[in-house]
Amino acid sequence: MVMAEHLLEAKGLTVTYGNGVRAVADVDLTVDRGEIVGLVGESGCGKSSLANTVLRLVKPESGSLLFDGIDLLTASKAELRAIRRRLQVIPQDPSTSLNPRLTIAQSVEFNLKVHRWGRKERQARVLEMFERVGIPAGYSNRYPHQLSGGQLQRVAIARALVTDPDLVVCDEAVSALDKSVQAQILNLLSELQRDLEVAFLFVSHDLTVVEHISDRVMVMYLGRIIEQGPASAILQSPQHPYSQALLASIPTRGQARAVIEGEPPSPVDPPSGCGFRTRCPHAIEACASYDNTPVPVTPTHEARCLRVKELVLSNPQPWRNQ
Amino acid sequence: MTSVERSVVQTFAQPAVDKTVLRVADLTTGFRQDRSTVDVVRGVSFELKAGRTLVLLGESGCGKSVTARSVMRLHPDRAVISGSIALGDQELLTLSPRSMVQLRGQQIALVPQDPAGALSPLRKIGSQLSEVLRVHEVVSGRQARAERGLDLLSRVGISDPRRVAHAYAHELSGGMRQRVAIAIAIACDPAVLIADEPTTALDVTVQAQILDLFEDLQDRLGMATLLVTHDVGVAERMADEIAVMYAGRIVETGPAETVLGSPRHPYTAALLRALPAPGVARGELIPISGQPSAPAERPSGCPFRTRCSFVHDACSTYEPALLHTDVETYAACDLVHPQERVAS
Repeated sequence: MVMAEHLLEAKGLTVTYGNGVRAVADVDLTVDRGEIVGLVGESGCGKSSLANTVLRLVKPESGSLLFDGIDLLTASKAELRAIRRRLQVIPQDPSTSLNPRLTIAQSVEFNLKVHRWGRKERQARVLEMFERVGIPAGYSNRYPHQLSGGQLQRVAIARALVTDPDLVVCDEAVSALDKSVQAQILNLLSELQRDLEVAFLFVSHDLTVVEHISDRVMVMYLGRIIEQGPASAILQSPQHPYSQALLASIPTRGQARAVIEGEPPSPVDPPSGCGFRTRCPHAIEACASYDNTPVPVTPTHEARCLRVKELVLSNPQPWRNQ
Repeated sequence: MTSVERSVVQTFAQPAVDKTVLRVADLTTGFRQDRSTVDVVRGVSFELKAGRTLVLLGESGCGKSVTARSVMRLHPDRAVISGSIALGDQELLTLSPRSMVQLRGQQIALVPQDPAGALSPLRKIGSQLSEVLRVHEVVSGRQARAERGLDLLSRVGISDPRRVAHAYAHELSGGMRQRVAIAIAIACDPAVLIADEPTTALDVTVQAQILDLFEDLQDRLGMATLLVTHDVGVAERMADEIAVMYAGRIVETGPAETVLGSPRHPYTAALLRALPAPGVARGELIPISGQPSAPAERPSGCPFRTRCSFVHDACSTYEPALLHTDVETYAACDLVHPQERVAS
C-alpha cells in the first residue's frame, strides 16, 4: 500500500452544534508520522471539539478528514474500529476515565480485547506497557483509587499506547497534575514519541507546556487556527496579535499590564471577518471583511491576520514586555 | 455608623503600609480520623503587612488552602486547630462563632477560587452585594446600598455596573464573576484579603486582567493580602514575600525575588527546575521523583527526603526547623545550617 503523504490530513473542517455554536470553523490540519503537533487556545476556542472531531466522536458539518489516506467521514463501522487501534486518546482526567471497578491491568487489557488479541498475548503486552510507562509490576491488580494522579495518568498512557497506535490525541493530558509530576509525564511522552515513533496531537490551554513538547504549534481562537508554525517560531516571534497577547499574559515578575481586554465573543454569533478584531489593539475597518486567508510569514509559519506584515515592520518585537 | 461617618473613617484610617495586620503563630490544623488526628497544617507562622502580599506557594495537598481557611476559621467541624491568629490585638481562635461571623467579610474577606460556586445562582448580583453591605451595616437604606453596590462594581473595573447588578451569576463570564466576587470581598474595606487560587479557573488573558485588578486595589485600599496559589508564575508576579509549603509546613520563606532567585531548600529549587522553560529541550525537564506522601503516611524526619536528591543519613532522624540562610530567607533543610542542628 502506498503511504499517504500525511498521517492525518483535515481540510476545511467545520463543526456546528445544534445550539448554533460554530465550534470549529474551516480548519486545515496535518500531522505527520512521529510528529508532535500542539494545539493551544483558551476555553471555548474549539480545541476540544477539533480533537473530538479527529477522533470521530463529533461529526463535522463539512470538510474532509483523512487518516493515512482513509476517509474517516465515510468509513464504515468496521473500518473505523480497525482505525481506532491506530488512533488513540489520553484524556484529561484519568480518575474519571478509568473504570473504578476494574483493576488497572484489566482497564489496559480491555483495549486489547476490543481489538481481539488472545489472552496470553494480552497479559504479556500489558505488563510490557506498564514497565514502559513506569508502573511497578506489583501494581497491576490495584484499583484506580489506590493510585496517585501521576500514576493514573501513566496508566492512561499505557492504555492508549498498548495497541501500538500511530496517532494519540492528548486532550489536556497533563493539566490536572502538579508541576513536579507534570514534568515526569512530559518527559515520558517525549520518550515514547522518540522510541515508538508515535505522533501526538497535544491539546492544551498551557502555552509553555505546548511549546515545550511540540514540534509544531497551532494557536486557536474562536474556532479558527489563527497562527501556526514551528514551536520555537511561535514562542520567539509570534506574529498574530492574539498569540502575542497569549504569550504576554503568562504571569512573570515585572509583567506588564494585561494586553487585551474583555473575553472572547460568543461562538454563536462570531464577529464578521477576523474573530479577534473586537479585542485586538491593532484592528482597523478592513478587519471586519477579512476572509481569513492565511498570510505566510516564512514557508513553515503562517498567521491569519490582515496586518501581519505591516505590524512586523512597525514593531519587530511587539510581544516583549517593555 | 452612618455612611458619612464610615466614609470619613475610610479616608483617614488607611493602615500605614508595612504595619503588621495579622500575625499567625504556630498554627496547627488536624483532622480527626478514626481515633487519631492527622495534622494537615503543622506549626505554620507568618505575618501579613498592610499593602503587602504574601504568597503561599505549594502543590495540591500541601496544606496551603487549609491554612487560608483556618485563618478565617472556615475549617470543618472535625478539624482540631491550635496556635494563634492575631488580627491586630484580637485573638481569632478564641473568638465566639457569632463575633467571627461579624468579623468575616468585614475585617477579613475571602476571594474564592470558583466564583460560580460562591455566588448564589438564584439572586441578582446587585442583591448579593447589598446583602454584604446590610449585614455589616456599612450603608443603611436600600437605595444607598444599591448605589454603593454600583460604585463597588465600577471599582473592580466593570464598565456597565447597572447591567451586571441586574444580572444573575450564570449570565456573566468567568472573569466577570470573579470581579463580582472581588467587589463583594472589598465591600467593607477589609484589612486583610485572603485569595485562594483566585485565577486558577480563569483563562490566561483574563487572569492577567484580574491580577492587574488585585494590584490596583491593593495600591488604593492598602489591604494586607494572603494569596494562595500553586502557580509559580502568579507567585512571581504578585508576591512581596513567599512562603513555600510542603507537607503541611513552610519549608522556605522570605522576599519573593530571593526565594525564587536563590532558593535554598531543595524542594523550592526542584520545583522551579521542573517547569518547562524556553531553552529546555523536549524530554529534558528535571522532574521531582515520586509524589508527595499523604498526611497520614508522612516519612519520619524531613517529609521531602524520599524525593530529595540531596538526601543523607541525618534527614530521617529529625525534621529541620526554619533557619536563617546565607541570603535573606529562611529554609527548613539540614543542609542549610548543619552546625545549628537542633534535635526535635
